[in-house]
Amino acid sequence: MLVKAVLTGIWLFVIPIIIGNGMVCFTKQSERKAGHAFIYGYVTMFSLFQILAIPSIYLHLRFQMLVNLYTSAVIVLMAGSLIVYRKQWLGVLKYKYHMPKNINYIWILVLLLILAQTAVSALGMHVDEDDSFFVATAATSWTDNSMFEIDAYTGAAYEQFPSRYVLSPFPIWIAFLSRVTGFHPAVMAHTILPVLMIPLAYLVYYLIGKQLFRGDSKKTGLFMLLISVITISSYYSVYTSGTFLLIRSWQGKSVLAAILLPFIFYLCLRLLHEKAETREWMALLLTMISSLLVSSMGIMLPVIMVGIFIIIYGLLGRDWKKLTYGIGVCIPNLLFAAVYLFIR
Amino acid sequence: MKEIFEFAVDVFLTVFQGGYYHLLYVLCIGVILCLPKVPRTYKVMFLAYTGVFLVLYFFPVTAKIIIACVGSDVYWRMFWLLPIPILIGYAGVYLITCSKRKMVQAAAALICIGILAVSGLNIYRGGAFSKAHNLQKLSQECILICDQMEADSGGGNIKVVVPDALVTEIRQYDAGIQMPYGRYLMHLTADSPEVRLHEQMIQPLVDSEMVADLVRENNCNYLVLLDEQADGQSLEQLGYQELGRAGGYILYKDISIVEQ
Repeated sequence: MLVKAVLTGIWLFVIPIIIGNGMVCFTKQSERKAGHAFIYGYVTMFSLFQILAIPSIYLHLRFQMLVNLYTSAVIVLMAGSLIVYRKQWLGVLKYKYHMPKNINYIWILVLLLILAQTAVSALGMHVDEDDSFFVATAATSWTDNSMFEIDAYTGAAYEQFPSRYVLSPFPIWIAFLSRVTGFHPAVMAHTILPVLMIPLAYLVYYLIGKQLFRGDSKKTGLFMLLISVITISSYYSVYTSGTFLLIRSWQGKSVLAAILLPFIFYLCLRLLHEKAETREWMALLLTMISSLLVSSMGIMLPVIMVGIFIIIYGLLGRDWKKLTYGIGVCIPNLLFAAVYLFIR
Repeated sequence: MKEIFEFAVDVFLTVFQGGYYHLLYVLCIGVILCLPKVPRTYKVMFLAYTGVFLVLYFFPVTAKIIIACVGSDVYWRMFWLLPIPILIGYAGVYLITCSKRKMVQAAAALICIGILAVSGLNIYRGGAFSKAHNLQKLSQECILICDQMEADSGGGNIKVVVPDALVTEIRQYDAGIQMPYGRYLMHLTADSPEVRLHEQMIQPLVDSEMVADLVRENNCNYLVLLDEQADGQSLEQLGYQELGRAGGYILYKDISIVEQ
């Protein structure tokens, strides 16, 4: 169990930060911090998985082959980040942590609320019938060493790929995590992934708050407090992103609703509402590709969100660079949309 | 066109019934427009974004295109594009920090939190979570039944039919186990062996002879029934041996397959 826990910590937390630190070269110098590195690491890893998984599935490769391919690619990215930023990493090892002089009670309350939400989701149980497909697909790949070859519902062979899901193989990513950590897919999904996804969602809201309030720590803290209350109170409907985050954080559509769409909103604020350097568009492109992995809704919804921003700032604002780049980052999604409509 | 607009309105009402966050959202748009401290660029952004979203959502032409792409059954997910928590949080912060006096800010914060709480439903009081009995977060009965079948089969093929409550859990725990049907049966015809079997399985008391025949027709070697559904004596005479029990379930094995 200890070995599994250590491997889980490495794959879910250490590796994304290392990779993300290499990717934050696409952000402004002043914003290259751990928070950015973590989320950038995830959109990079999700994008990479999507790029490798789709051809692997259609070529009917064994699941273990994809595991080997993806692991190799991740190691290359990690090595790149560690080598290019070796001085920074050496600095991290020598860093001496100091307790902040003025502890803001608002932030303590926010952190306690996030911790409590994470603990309840990780330790409590919520039964969702959609897991009979999503978790069972992960379990099927993990058991059978195949990808979308076996019907998750019955165990019979598919006559053809399930068109609604094959382009968004997030359950295969869960199966990958199970393979490299040793945890059963149901354990990975129901118990471990909430510990990642809920704090990750709040990290995105933190970045949004920092952006909206220009780095004002007190206002950002208040914003986070209100976001926590809103999320906890969101159970008036089973359709809200807050409900999805707290009760089904391991499902791809929850990752889309609660993490990736807000992150796209944040990036659009930076790139379209304000001015940004060209290289910063890479983060948005990676996030758009990440959305393809997590859900079939991730094909169109991000395009609509970016589309709204480029209507406002590109078309109505007559900024042709924003219009061009905004359309450009949507190209992967539009290509997938064409494929999806063709195979549906 | 009118049908599409009405459909969009129905979906809107379905998503937001039970709470008042849609009203809070509109209120917060008004708040940020009125507060002088809110930067003008963000006033324009939130207003324009909401306006364009509503046009895309309700306008029949764009709605029809989006529905064709995503499907009408999930059109409600368009509301994930509306920055409801972000805008409400943003407006709330500016309301709270209107005054520089800390006591006033604290009181305003409490009022805002109170309004947010009563406008929705607390997920921890809404019955969303129950106590977990294992790390897989599946019913203990499902795990016990799967483990019993694995121990009995000795690595051989397992195909089982179970009551509906277990159908969604079995293959989450053990994807090596097959089932004749899963969560959905609408793609099957009414006279298919799977549908006929399911119709028997949902009866309060099963017809043992009919179930035994249908289970064999579906090539299952194991059968799980609720205690109150099963007539154990009849099933035994029909070649089904009781292997074990878990919670309110009884696990049977078709021993006629072994004997053949």
